[in-house]
Amino acid sequence: MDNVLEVKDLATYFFMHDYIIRAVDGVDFTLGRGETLGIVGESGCGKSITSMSMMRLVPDPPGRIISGEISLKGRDILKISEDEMRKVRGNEISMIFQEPMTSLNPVFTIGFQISEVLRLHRDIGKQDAIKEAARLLRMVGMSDPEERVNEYPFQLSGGLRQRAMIAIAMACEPTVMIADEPTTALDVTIQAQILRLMRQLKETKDTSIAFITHDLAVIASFTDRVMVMYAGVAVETSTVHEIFKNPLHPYTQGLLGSVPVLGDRKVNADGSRKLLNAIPGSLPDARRFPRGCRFAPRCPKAMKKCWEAEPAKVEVAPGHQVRCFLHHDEVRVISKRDLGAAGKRVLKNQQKISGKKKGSADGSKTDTPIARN
Amino acid sequence: MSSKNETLIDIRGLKKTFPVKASVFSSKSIPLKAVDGVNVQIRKGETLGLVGESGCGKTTVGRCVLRLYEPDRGRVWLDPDPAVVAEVEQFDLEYEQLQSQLDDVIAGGRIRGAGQKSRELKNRIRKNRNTARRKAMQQDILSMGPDQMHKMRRNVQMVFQDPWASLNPQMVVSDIIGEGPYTYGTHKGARLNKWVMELLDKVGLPRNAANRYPHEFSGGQRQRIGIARALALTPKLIVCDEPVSALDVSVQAQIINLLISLQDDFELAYLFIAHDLSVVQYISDRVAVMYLGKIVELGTGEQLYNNPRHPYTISLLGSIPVADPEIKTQERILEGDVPSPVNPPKGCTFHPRCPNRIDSCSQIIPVLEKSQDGHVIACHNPPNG
Amino acid sequence: MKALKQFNWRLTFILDILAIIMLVSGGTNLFFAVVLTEGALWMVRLLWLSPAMLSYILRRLAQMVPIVLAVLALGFALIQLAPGDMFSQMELDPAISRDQLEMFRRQFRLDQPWYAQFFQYIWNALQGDFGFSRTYRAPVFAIVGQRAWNTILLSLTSLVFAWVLSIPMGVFAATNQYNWKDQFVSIFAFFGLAIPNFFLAFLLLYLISSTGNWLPLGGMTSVGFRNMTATQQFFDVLRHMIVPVVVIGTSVMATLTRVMRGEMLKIMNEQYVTTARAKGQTENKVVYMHALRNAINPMITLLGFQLGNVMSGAALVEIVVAWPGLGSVLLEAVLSQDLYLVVGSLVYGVVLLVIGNLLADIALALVDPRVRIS
Ligand SMILES: Nc1ncnc2c1ncn2[C@@H]1O[C@H](COP(=O)(O)OP(=O)(O)OP(=O)(O)O)[C@@H](O)[C@H]1O
Ligand SMILES: Nc1ncnc2c1ncn2[C@@H]1O[C@H](COP(=O)(O)OP(=O)(O)O)[C@@H](O)[C@H]1O
Ligand code: SF4
Ligand code: SF4
Ligand SMILES: [Mg+2]
Ligand SMILES: [Mg+2]
Repeated sequence: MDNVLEVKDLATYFFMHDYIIRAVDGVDFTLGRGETLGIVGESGCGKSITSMSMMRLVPDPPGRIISGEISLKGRDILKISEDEMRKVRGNEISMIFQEPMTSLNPVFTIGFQISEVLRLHRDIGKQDAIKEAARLLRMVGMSDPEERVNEYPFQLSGGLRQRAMIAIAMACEPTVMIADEPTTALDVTIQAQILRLMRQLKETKDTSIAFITHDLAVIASFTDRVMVMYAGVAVETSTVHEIFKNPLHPYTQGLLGSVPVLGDRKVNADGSRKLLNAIPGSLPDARRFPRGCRFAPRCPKAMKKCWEAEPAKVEVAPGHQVRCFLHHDEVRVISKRDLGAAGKRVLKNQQKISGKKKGSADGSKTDTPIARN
Repeated sequence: MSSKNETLIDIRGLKKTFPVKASVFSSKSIPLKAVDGVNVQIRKGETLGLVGESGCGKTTVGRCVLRLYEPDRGRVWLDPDPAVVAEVEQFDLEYEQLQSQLDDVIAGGRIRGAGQKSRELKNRIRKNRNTARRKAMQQDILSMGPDQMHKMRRNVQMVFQDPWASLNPQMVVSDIIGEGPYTYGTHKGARLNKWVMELLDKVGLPRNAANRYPHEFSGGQRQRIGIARALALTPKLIVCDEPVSALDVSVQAQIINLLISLQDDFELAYLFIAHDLSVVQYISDRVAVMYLGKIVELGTGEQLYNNPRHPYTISLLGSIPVADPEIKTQERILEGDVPSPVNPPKGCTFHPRCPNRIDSCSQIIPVLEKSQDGHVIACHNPPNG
Repeated sequence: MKALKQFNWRLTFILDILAIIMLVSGGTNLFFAVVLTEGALWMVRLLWLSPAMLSYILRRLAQMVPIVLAVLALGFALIQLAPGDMFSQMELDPAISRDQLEMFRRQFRLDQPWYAQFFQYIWNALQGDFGFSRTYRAPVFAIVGQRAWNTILLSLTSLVFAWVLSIPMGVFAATNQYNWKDQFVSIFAFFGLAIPNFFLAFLLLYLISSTGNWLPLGGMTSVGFRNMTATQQFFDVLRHMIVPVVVIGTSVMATLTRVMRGEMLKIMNEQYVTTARAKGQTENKVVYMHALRNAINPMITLLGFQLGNVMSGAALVEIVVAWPGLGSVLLEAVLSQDLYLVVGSLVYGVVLLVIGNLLADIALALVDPRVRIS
């Protein structure tokens, strides 16, 4: 399987007035042709910002991709010009979003919104584009597509809107489609329809999909490989079978224990009610991640060194990467990243605020971990 | 567990319509049947799950039980005395008859004596309603006057879906939790304070949370505050309307665990509303499946999962992905959307999407029928028997 | 039916133009020709495009009746409560005899009980007869009607001026959020809000007169207006309008700019804006097509409300720059206790406001498909 997309050491920060949010801070993955990669993690762990970074649509300011490499078919799209990037968006990489209610423009017809993307990337006339839009609507399973093109989003149900979004995303037959929780806002029955549709399209068009969700059951039934994210970093990546059969990272294990499985036994052998295996606590504040492993405050297996240094990502088996000291002792080396003038100023302010003035001037000279407090 | 066979709440013939505007410019409104004849019991200390696609009327049922919505018809008995229920039932039957007689008279048009007759009937109906209300007043939540309502609220509480909107942002947590006990005078002064601390411990919040405002907490923590508030009056029933739907999986698991352990500590009954069947099935003793304002299947969690009998339940189960990549579910995907409750399909409301539909389905409304093991469905042609 | 819907109804505007030309060549006043054709043809169009909306408009018009009646009653009460009547001052005039006065009073039915007078007043008002102005010695309706058009002209021009400037300014501020450009626009808007209209008017007039009177300082037309060609007349009125339009427009523009900025900021955060960017759309199209189209709707909702603002603002400014509109006539009428004129101009103003609000609602329905399609 040749990789169409390779993301290496991606980091996207938000530079706020007096602090930095490290929304994405060390994410790497690959996406093969026709492959589906699931990205799971709690709300706020950086899934959406990862996908926005892939589209180079992180709101700037305050956000900025500060390091990393995203190569699409061998070309680093972080290095190309904005004009060239526009030719990539919607054409080579497309996107669907969580809220079908708000992701279509309420004042334009469905047909117009689909033909818009066609006319941007294809040499096609207005009338032909509308015809093509109707064809696409048929492809995503809408009845009466010739009439639907003249309808407005508010006239469609949630499921139909999401189908229209998929039609927009598939219009130019992109290499990669990013789906950011496309079914979270839908009922299970509609979710099943949408997942079936995406599966069919993926198979016929050979599209690679990055599928973001926090629903492990959807991951299990829909994806080939899985990346588990926690607090901005990818903590475990492997095939879907490995993740469910042999989860190595304590966070992955915790997530799997948290979901009630249909038909689960509800009482223990002694007759008491069985509880779920919940992870205690909640996601750390993105402004102040713990010094060492970011999962340490909630980790049942945390050791002393987990609080002191950040574990590096290691490959424990072919294609199975984990970031945890239980599986390796390697420490992640944080190199000096180019934060730019704004970042340095924020850093300085932070140091002033926290009162740690010891050598604030050399803060930018040495390879120190950034903004730890 | 011993008390689980006593009925705590008995919902009978519950109906609720909302007037909706036909269009932006029109002044007429048409009735939207949100809940259309729901009958269900909740026993003491039991969890009754309520599932269904969004818009099928789950929230409306929950809110009608607390009279946060004023239902059009029906009774919600709290701790009912069977004798009273039977007596009132007689009156309700008589009322139905009188009403249909009246309808006939009115339909008959302006013939001689019609005015006299309809006035007489109206009189009898009014008398009937008044007597029924007087008899039902102490136990039927929907007939209660302000005094009884006040008493009732101690026993029935609610936890809302949206942990961001359901807490008063101007009140500190200890006031939010202590408000109920304070107004009901169950705890006073230092004892109230102690009780609030105890509740904070119970729901797993730090004691110093007491003096902070809701906006300082995360979604999961707010839901804990909401649960503590509901618990503060040691109610017998808590209506939980999608209490975990807005939460992350890991936090969701924490809240489910909390609800389960509180149930054992406080001998609570829950009406647990959610759209996620796996969550509902996990926490509930019995589960009711709703479709377009009606209950279509009711059984224990095991019955529903192992032996679902209504075609809608079967499709619902078939739509749920399983958190195990080894299992490829045989796909039974429902086509189409839920029809609008403004003009639901005739006969069985599920018939346009039903794979088992037979001719009579589009004509006759199926009623709930009980099999010997207590499993209830409303269907003319259930699959596998 | 489907073929009918697909027919481009905008083509029917040709009909309007034809009808207007016919009426005008038939000798009707241009204004009445436009009102008549547009009124009639829009009814037909609505009957065909959206009967629901037609009935909505008819209902709204019906709802106007009690409002207008209430204003009439208020006006009548004012007249009744004031000491004396419209002929009281004439009693001091030795040239008019008592008998003559009595005759006048009988003519105007002032000798009748108040309720009879009220119904007479309403009956007359419905026919456009609001009584007789003592100071002008002419029917109130004629005076007010003519002045009202001047006020409408001034108000509408000010509104257009405010809109044309505030939309780009709001968009500009929103797309440059928090940097100096945004701050600049905000400060500008703040000044527009803070400076009282009459003060700005005096300031402008002072500046113009001290730099050589390059713009007319008051009035609506120059001496010799009647002898000008149509183009000259047009530019003459335009030159007279500049000061009042700038004054009224500035305060409205200040509000609108702030609303526009807020609306744009909100909409630029909407998911569909991201969708548009994710399609590969250029930033300009994203802002001016996807976002602006949505941001305009709340502005139109504000339109009806602003009509009131603009008209009351105009009333004050008219007095300062001697613009012959409703405002100045109202002031004159109050000062000279010409009560029929006061009531007449009030009623006229209220009716204009209510109709303006209705038109704004219809405009909103036309641009927003969520409202248009029911
Ligand atoms: N525009 C922004 N300005 C500042 N911080 C932001 C911004 N957008 C996101 N963040 C922060 O970046 C982090 C990652 O956010 P992201 O939206 O990627 O989460 P997510 O994993 O997609 O969560 P969800 O499941 O809720 O969609 C969060 O801490 C969030 O608060
Ligand atoms: N306040 C209300 N006004 C009008 N319609 C309502 C109102 N509340 C609910 N409905 C309608 O009643 C139906 C059932 O709603 P609800 O009980 O909230 O469903 P659920 O909780 O199962 O998603 C829906 O069609 C909904 O649109
Ligand atoms: S590194 Fe330590 S704290 Fe982090 S997940 Fe592994 S064991 Fe837990
Ligand atoms: S009654 Fe008929 S249509 Fe309804 S669920 Fe049963 S088989 Fe299907
Ligand atoms: Mg997200
Ligand atoms: Mg609900």
